[in-house]
Amino acid sequence: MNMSLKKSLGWVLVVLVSSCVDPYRPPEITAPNSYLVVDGFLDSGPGTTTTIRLSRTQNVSDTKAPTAETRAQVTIESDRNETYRLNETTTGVYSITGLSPQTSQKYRLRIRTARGTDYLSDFVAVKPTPAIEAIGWRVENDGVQLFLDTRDPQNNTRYYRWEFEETWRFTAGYQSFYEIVNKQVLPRLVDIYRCWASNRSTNIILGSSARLSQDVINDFPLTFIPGSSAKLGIRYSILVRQYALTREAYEYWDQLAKTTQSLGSLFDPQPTQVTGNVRSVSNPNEPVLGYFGAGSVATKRIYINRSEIPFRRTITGYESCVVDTLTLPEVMEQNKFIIDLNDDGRFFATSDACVDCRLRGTNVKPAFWED
Amino acid sequence: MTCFYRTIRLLFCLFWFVQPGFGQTPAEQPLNGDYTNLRFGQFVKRVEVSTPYRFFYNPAEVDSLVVNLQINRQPLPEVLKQLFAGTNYAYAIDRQQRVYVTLNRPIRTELPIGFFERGSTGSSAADSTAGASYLTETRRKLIAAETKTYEVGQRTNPIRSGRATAAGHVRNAASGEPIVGAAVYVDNPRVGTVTDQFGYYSITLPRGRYDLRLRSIGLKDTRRQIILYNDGKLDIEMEDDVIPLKEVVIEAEKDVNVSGLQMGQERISIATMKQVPTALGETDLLRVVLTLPGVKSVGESSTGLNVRGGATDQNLILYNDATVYNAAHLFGFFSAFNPDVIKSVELYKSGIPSRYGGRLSSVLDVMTRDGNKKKLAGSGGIGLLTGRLTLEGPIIKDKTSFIVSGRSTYSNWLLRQLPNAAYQNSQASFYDLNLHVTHDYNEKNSLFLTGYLSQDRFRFDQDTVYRYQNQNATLKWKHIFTNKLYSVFTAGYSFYKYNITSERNPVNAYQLGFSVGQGTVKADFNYYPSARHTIDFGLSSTYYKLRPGTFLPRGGESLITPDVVPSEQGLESAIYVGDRYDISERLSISAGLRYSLYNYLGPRSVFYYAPGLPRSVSNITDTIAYNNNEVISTYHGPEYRFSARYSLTSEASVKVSFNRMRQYIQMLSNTTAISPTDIWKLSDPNIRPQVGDQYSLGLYKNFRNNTIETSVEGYYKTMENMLDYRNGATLLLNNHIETDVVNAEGKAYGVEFLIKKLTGKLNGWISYTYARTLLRVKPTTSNEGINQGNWYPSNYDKPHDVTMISNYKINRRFSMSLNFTYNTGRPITLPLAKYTLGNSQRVLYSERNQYRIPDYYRVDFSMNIEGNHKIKKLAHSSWTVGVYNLTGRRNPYSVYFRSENGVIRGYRLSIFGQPIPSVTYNFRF
Repeated sequence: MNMSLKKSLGWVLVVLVSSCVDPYRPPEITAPNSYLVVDGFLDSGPGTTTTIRLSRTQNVSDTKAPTAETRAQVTIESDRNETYRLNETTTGVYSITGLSPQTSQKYRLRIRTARGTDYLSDFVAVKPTPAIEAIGWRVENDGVQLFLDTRDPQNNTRYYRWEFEETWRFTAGYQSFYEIVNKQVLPRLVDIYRCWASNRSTNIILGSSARLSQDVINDFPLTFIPGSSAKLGIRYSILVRQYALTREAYEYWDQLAKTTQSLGSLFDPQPTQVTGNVRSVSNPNEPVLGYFGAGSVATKRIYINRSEIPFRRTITGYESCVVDTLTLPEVMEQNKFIIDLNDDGRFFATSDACVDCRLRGTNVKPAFWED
Repeated sequence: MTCFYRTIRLLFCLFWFVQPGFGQTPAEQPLNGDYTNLRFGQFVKRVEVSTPYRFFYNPAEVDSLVVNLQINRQPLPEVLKQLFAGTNYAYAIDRQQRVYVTLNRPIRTELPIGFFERGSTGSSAADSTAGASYLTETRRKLIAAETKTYEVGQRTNPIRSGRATAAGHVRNAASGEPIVGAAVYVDNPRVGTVTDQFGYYSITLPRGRYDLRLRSIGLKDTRRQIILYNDGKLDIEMEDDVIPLKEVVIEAEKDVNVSGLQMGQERISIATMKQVPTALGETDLLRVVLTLPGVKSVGESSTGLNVRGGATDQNLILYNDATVYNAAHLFGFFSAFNPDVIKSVELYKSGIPSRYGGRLSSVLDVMTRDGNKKKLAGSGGIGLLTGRLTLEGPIIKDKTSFIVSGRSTYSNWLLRQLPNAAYQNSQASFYDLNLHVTHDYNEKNSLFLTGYLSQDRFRFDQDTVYRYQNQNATLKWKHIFTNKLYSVFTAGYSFYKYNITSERNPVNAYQLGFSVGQGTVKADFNYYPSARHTIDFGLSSTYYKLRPGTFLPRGGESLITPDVVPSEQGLESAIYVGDRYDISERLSISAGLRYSLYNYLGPRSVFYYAPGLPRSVSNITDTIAYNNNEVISTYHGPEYRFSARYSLTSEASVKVSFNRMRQYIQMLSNTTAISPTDIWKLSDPNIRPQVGDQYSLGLYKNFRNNTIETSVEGYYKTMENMLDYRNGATLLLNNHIETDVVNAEGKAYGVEFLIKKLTGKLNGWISYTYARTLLRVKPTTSNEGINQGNWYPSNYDKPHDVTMISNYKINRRFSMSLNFTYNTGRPITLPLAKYTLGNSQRVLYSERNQYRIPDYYRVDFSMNIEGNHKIKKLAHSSWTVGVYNLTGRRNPYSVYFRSENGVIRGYRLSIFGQPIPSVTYNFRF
């Protein structure tokens, strides 16, 4: 069979499995109200800080940052009538340190907004989180698939949610050995060649062992990194945070994930309003978004070195950098950065984006980083 | 150019008045028969049927002329001479055997010699004689049977008074296949009937001599001269309508839509289905049904039908009387019915006869062909994605025949050709097998056996495997007691199951399964007590067995705890009786009553909830365990069926109908489109059966000798106890599903306009529908309601719909089809607001279905190229070349919003976003 026929047959089938997807801009919808959003949980770990962020919903087309709900009175109450007041540390962020919640008690969140509306969450149990057993990885499909294993020997946890934060070392396209200070070429003192970049997970990652005879999560796929990714260029690290959930909390996050993440197939679930366990005291029909939970956090970090993986090519994002040979006035006139001296007294120079890694990360070594 | 001159010549013929001349008339066809007491128009019709002569006259001039002739093999000119003797009528016959009847002076049929210097008549005359000789060839055969007089019943002399019944089968002369829906009638008195699904008819008339006429689409009209002495049998064969290559024949009146009692009914033959272009080149029954007015679906890949505002589970899809639970292959891209074995499909949208029951909205009755009773034959097709092969033939000639057909896809092979690794590791395949055996034991007993098996398998990227399977079998025994009474006993079995397996991670390896099965026995009787009454009655019983969900570990390492939702069973029984009563020539009514009784049977533990409180696990007050086959709950009720027709003229009528339906099994789904993994649920103490009422009114008018049908139908429908799910419902593996569903009520109304032309060079239909479907879930103390208890549009509420299906036959070998579809976009739920939670933007959705996706329109084109028409050759073949979505419009199937890298993005998904070409090769031998 010749190639073009093969291609067109394949194309017909692509229609079956991957259809075309175009961006869609919905008609301008103005919500009648903006609703309260409660983001945070009661951290039961000793000495930790519990942080609750309050904000408001905004119109879908709104490009501004969400409005914070400031000057609210936020308290956590136990079912034994103990109350703890959270202080607004920055706008819309309320926190308290040194709470030591008891697993025998239940807690709820009470919010009185500056406008005087009261909101109250359901009482929630404190869910201790078991440690993460292992984070592993395997090379497959031309990339690295990261997995997680965890277990609760008491078989109490059952529902899990994870977040992760990736950090990786990288270098700029060219190393600049000189800098221009007051029109003078001086050796560069600050390293802008080696940096660290980081990225936080944005998707809701959930797992459950409710259907298993043991409370075991085995080989749970966390994330996939293509082999050519700059993340794997030198040294990569991932920190995983594990949260134990109650069944109700799991259902909430699962619904939220279903209606905002896993859409776009032929058999989409119908999107529905997902509201959590916080309600307005005066108007039970008012949607309040977010889920208040309580529990501890377990974390684990691993590293992956370049030498451990078989991939050769890395797409650094600096592929389009070009080097010019310029005189000093030309370098200054064009706002170029010097890479090195040429033998003829001119300079190898390029644009700032190609030498300054700080534009894509930080050159300050993170406190946790182990080389 | 020839055409042009012919027209000119005809015009001159009409305006030139000279002496008659029949010297040039070609080989004369003698007339025969009894032409007594006929009006001139009737006489002409009969002559035109049996001879190639065509008459031209002014009806107003001949209205007082009565024909009273006994003709015994006389040529037409002789007959006309006799007829017009002593009157002032004149006639002329030209070379093309056109007869012009005028007052006082005859028409001159020839131009004066040398009027045109060019000899323009040569080529056209040659053409028409070629056609004419072919015509006479086929006509002669027909005439033999048509002119013969058949005696029905034991001969008596003289003919006794009173009535007698003639009955028998109408079959295709070539294949012996029964012809369904053929009109069998006499003109005077105007009495008629239609053959049933076995090609059987029964007609009761005053004893005497009749001209019994038969008409059916795609077949040559025929007639039998009968003398009805007593009750008796008369089998009739009809011939395929072989139309000579250059002739255009406008088929005669098919006035069933006006004269029939049925409304809201559509019958589509396989020939019509084959003309409609489809996306993947394969004739698709469900997609053709979707082009009919009043039938909608949520989107392009969905074969779920929404008939007049009904949900997708409210259609009774019958395949030779076996219920089909999932009528789609490959997640909806193909229908489960193999076009090679289908004879026709009938859709009842309203006025549903009392013999059908169990679903609220419609009955889709798919009938398979009988195998060829005379000789072994085969057919098949090769398309881009599928191949099929059919064999049929006699086992005992003229007695027993079989047809067996298989269809499969080679998409697995195609997937492996794709460059993307994910596709290479994917699999998508299906097959289906059909078997149909017909056996005529003797004149009074026939047996029919149908088997059907379909299987789908789909795997995406080495992980989860989806499998689903349909199994159907039916055995029918038709027994004729007398000419006036026959019965059909049916035993049927239907089974649908799916399972999902995942073995990628041995610790979590599982198999999830669901199945629904039913066994049906029924007896249907048809009784024709007199010419004015047609009575049918019967009883049926259906046993359902569902396994609502099994979740089992797979492999030794799996830690999955088995979870099996207890199976459930129920028994639905019904008796019915219906009578069609022709009160007068103008007024007919059909009244029926069906009484259905449903028992939900143990063993099962049933939860009872505190009245007035939300149905949730915490409000369970009691759990009662029932023993095996113990009746847990019973529902029953009458289902009324009524329709009436009043003829305004012979070409126009008005009809009304009312029907009530009850449904005891429902599908639960929280996806927009019907999906193979939806589950079915029997009515139980907490879930009440659905009840639906429909009122409809229609106006029917035919034009141009019934070649153009027009109709307007309006309807209003209410539905009770439909199931909707709560926000965040879990439907699968749910042991107390009643806590996750709510009762919805529905109403639907609309009006459907249809213009249809099924014959001629250009044929097809255009329809416009305005329809609304609204649902309401009222807030009660036990549930919160949806959209605050207001009416909201259902997922398939598409108010405006315009569909055009057209086919143009360029000649006998080429035909082209062009389809056009427009409809309002379906309702969707759009995000009202966005917010940030857990490092990512999320959306808050509006109330359900308050917005719409953009409107939908699509144009399809296809061309059918037949091989040459030599009658004797090894195999006949044809090519179908088509383009689906000719304009390449990206019709959105869905609109969705996704949080990606922490930012909300909106997308629209189009399934067939480009023109999709397809080629299919069909053959038969």
